[in-house]
Amino acid sequence: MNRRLSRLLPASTVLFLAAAFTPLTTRAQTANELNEGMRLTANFDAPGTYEVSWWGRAGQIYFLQRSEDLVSPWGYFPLIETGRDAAVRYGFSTPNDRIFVRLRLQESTLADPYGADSDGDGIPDGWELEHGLNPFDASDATVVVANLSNLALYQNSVGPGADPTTTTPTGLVVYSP
Amino acid sequence: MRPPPILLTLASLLAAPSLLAADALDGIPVTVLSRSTVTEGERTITYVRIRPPALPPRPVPAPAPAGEPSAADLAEWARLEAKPRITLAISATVHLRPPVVTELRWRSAGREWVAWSNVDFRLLSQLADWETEAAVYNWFAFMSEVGPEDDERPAELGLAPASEQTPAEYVVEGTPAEVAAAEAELTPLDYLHAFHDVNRAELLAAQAAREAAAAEAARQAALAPPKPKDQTIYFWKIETPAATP
Repeated sequence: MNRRLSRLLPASTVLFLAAAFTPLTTRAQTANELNEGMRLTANFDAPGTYEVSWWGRAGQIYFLQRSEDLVSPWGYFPLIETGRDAAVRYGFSTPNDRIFVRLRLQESTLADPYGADSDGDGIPDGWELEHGLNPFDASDATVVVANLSNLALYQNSVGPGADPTTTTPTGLVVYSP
Repeated sequence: MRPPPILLTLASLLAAPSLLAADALDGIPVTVLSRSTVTEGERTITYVRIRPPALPPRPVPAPAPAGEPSAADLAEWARLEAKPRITLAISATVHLRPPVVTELRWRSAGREWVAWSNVDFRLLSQLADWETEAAVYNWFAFMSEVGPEDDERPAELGLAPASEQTPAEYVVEGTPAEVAAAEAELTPLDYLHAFHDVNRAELLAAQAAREAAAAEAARQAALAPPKPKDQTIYFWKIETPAATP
C-alpha cells in the first residue's frame, strides 16, 4: 500500500458549475413520436394544475395512471381514452408537490371500452376504474369488502367499502370519450 | 386473441412551486360531471371529472433574443468546449468509527481502484461538478456509511483525521509501480482533497446546517407523524381540433 499526499491547489482553479435547466416544451404531438409523444406540463399560472397529453393512435385505448412517489401502487384515473389519430389532452389538479403519470395501452376497437373486461374477472373495466380496482388484475375480484367479494359487489351494483345493506345501487357510470 | 397490454414506462416528474394550495381549484368555479371515491391504503382519493375550468391563460412565451451571440458569449462557449469533460463514478463509503476514514472505489482501465482517505466525504456530498484549468469534471458520488460493526478497514492505514492542522491525504491500494502509473487516475482525488482543505470551514458549516435541519425534521416527524391525507383530484378533457400527423 502506498501513501500519496494530496497536492494543494489554488482555490481559483476549482469552480462550481451551475446545473443545466431545460425548459418545458409546449408544442403539440405528432404521429411519429416515440412513446406516443407523452408529455406532462405544469400550468404555473394555476399552481397545482397540470396537463398530460399524448398522441392517441386509432385502434388503441389508453388508461392513465398516477403516482406521487413511485413506491405506492399506481392509481388509475377513472377514464379510458380511445385513440383517434389525434392528440389527446387532459388537465388535472393535484395537492401534491410532485406527480408521475404514465399510460397503459392496449389494442381495442370496441365502441365501449368501459364495458370490456380486460382481466376476465367478470367485472367491466369501467366499473373497476370507478371503484379503485385494477382492470388488469383478476385477483381483485375475489377481495372481500363489506362481507362481499368485489365481484359480488359489482353484481349487486354496490361499490367496495360501502355497506350493501344501506347503499342504494349506483350502477355503472360510463363516460363519453 | 387480444394482444397483451403494453405499459408505457415513460414517467414524468415536475417539481411544482412550493406555494401549492390544498385545493388547486379553490376559487375557480367548476362544473362537476361525475365523482368517484376510491381507497388507496389508508386514504381515499376522490376523482372529480369536471368541464374545463376557466384557468388563467398561459402567457405567450417571450421571443428568443434576436441578434448574434456576443463576443463574450462566443468566447465563453469556446473556452468550455476546449476543455475535456470527464465523468467520474466514485463510491465513497464513510467509516464512522473514529478516526473517521472514507473508502473510495472506482473502476478504470479494466481494474478496480481502492483508496482510503482521512477526509469525511460526507462534507463533499453536495459537490457534483467542478472545473479546473484543464478540464470539467462531473462527479457521480455513490455515498454510503458503515458503522463500527461493519468496519473492515485495513489495520495499518496510519491516517490522522483531516483538520485545520492535518491536511487531507489518502492511501491507494496497490504496488508502488501500479500507483506511480496511475497518475491520471489520481488527479481527480487530488482535486477533491485540495478542495476540502481550501474550503474546510465552509464545508463543516454546511454539513452542520444539514444535520441540524435533518434533526429538526426528525423531531417534527416524531411529534406529529405524517398521516396519509385524503385527496381530491379534478380532471378534465381538453378538446383539440383534429391534427394532421
